[in-house]
Amino acid sequence: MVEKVNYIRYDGRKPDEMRPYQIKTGIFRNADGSAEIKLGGNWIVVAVYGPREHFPKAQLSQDKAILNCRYHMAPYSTSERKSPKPSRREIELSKVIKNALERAILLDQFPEMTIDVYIEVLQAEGSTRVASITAASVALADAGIPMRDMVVGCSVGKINGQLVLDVGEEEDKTGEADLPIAIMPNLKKIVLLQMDGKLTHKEFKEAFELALKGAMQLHEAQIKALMERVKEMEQFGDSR
Amino acid sequence: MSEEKHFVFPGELLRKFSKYKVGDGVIKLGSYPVSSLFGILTVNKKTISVIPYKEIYRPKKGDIVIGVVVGYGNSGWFIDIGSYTKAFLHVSEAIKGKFDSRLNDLSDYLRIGDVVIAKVTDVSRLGYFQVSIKGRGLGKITDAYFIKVNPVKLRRIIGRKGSMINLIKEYIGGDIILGKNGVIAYRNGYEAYKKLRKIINIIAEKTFASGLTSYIAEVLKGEK
Repeated sequence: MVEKVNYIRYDGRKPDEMRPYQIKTGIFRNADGSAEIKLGGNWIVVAVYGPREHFPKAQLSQDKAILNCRYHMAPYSTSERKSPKPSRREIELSKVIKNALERAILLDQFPEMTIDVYIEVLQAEGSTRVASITAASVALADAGIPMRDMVVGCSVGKINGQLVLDVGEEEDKTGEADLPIAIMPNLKKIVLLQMDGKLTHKEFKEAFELALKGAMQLHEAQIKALMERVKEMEQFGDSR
Repeated sequence: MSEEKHFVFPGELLRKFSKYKVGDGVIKLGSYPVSSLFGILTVNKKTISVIPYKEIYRPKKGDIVIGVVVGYGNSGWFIDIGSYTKAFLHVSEAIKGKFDSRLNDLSDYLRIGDVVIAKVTDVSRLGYFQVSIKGRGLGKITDAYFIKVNPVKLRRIIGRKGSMINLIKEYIGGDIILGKNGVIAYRNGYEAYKKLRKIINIIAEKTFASGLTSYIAEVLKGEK
């Protein structure tokens, strides 16, 4: 699948190797559901509220719940201080993530309600949008919100003509192409597909296969995180 | 609870159960049932459902609930029972006789902060629901202690065919009212209430443990 296996990346990874990842759930006491993901240098926390009554009443949707999604980067998340004001990029990513999660949540079970997803990027190191989606779907499962499937994302990039899995920040800046995807792993449906740069048809197919491989790895981590939460609850109880 | 607990995740295909009816927490996509929640899979005769490990109370017609009055409307009160929306208690469902707004005020009967035991009378398609406090055992309560748990835990507190709740009643005594929304009202002395709270907390913490009833029996015997 990947031709040059001996290609070494800037952080010493193989082309088809993920950064070390860890997902935890039930981290916040006050939110209905919460999760945290650490993917390499990324550190993202997600809190989920709802379903709750929608306000203002004039803007509610009669036949299904409205999903509010906020992707926000902390001022200290990047190497240069970032203004805490929502930037163009953050507003766009909020919408993209909302669209991806909307496909999975059974919104029609909660007419006239709202579900809030707050994504806070504490530390950013490339591929934050797919990591955010992965953590957000764990938080939604933790909140007990019915979903068709979990959502899990992964990204693939092209650097010096080589396809690499799980693009880091340096690779994102210097690379030739970048392909973040998010899928519903059991239903085998794509919910997010973006591309930056240029890939040939053949490269695109390879990149997509590689991204699927990474996403399935992360899906296992999602399930592991939820199971660990159950074990924790058996030991220490619900109160956290 | 000797059988193996089977945890399922959102999106998990339940191929084995394609001939079963789908219950709560399971949806049908194509020809296979798919779990839509994270919880324990339960098979009951011909129906499969998923018990979530955490949920928000969804009212059903006929449920007994315990809630707090949080606001006045034009012709009734709004009652918070910990669901998605507030319940509406119409004045005709609360008092005997006619209500005349020129002579009386709603706060003459129920004030904000009052706790009521109510029965769900109507749930609309959109999830709005109405309650009534007319009936035996319903109405305002002033002489009880309260414990709040997640509604999922009630299943364990009641136990199989009421085994757990009967055990608790036998050892602790007093009047225990279980609201379907997870609020437990208890009428007895403070010492007995403290005991009950301790037992309820153990059950709530060890919801997924097996052999819970016998364990609770041991704890209760030790206390006595």
